Amino acid sequence: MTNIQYVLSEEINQAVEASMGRYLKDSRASCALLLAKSGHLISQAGFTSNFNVQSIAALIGGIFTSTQALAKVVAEEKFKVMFQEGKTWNVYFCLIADQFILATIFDKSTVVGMIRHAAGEAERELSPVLARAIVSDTDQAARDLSEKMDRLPSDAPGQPGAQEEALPDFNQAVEDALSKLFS
Amino acid sequence: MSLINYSSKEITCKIVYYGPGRCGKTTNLQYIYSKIPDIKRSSMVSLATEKDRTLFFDFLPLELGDIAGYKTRVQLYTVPGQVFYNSTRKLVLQGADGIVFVADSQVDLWQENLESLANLRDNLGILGMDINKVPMVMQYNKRDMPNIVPVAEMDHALNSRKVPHYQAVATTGAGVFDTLKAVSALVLQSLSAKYRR
Repeated sequence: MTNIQYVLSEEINQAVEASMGRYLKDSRASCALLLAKSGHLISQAGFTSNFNVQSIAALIGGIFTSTQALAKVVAEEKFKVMFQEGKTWNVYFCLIADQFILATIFDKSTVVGMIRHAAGEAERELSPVLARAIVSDTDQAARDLSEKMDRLPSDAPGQPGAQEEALPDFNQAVEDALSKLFS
Repeated sequence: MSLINYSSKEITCKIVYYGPGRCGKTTNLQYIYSKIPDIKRSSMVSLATEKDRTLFFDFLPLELGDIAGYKTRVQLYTVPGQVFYNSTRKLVLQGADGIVFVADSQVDLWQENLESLANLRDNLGILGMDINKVPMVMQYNKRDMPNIVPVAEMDHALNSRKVPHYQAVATTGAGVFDTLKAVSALVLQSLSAKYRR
């Protein structure tokens, strides 16, 4: 199985959120989403409550990945940027650090040139930060973070401890969660 | 390719329903979607052809709630089953944390199951994933149809890895939640094992 995973420590998360906030301000867009190419939403900024961001992330992940297949067909290495223009809303998305997509939703209060300029700046900021979010089993970062993950559940009041013997019974946990969701 | 956010205490996993055309992958997701209470329902995305065959994928996000102190989100995808959409299947399969292989129990569709499983193995290999390691559950669907292959025979031919298997009639919901529960638990167990030495 592929060993790439995205793990966001508090430090990485704070840096990402700060960059996203700056990007939103500079671009004057309505909202911005940062996602992995697989469609996982990593961060969001702006008026995201207007949209179903999980679905948007999944669709953009699909669109972008299929576009990369199109690039190969026309003998391009990759397409880095896409722009969709609508009556009210426009969507601009660009590739960041080859693994992530910065998607921006904006209306007529800004222009695509400004989005493009600000996105370039955001890419420079986000690339090194996001590179640290990609971990594999062999990375020291993953091991360090795993220790942190062990500690986190015990910090939460009422949560089981994080030692090996206190691992939750996931069968039961998932059954409980599903029963609660569908009750 | 899960996403773990330690800051907001969130885990997001991707589960892909795979199988031959018209085996009931979309029906699984539709049944799950139909049972989500209105207050918690977001939306299911279906990119389908005019004849309701999946063109790209179906997508259903599920907020499972708090598990071990983490807000756990499972994203369910289906792939297009038709043979000529293989490149699309590969795209959707990318980053999967767990797989449900939905097999059609009807005798007439026996060969399609075998071909789809071989196709899954190939596509996972291309993506650098091993079909013998990825968290996986088998679902033998359409058990209500008249001319079906016995479960033991299906399991023998399709499930050499002996992963959990479930009989299902996705149109009525039989076996749908058992399958979802099993694959979700396997994915979370796999993540837990990875991050706990």
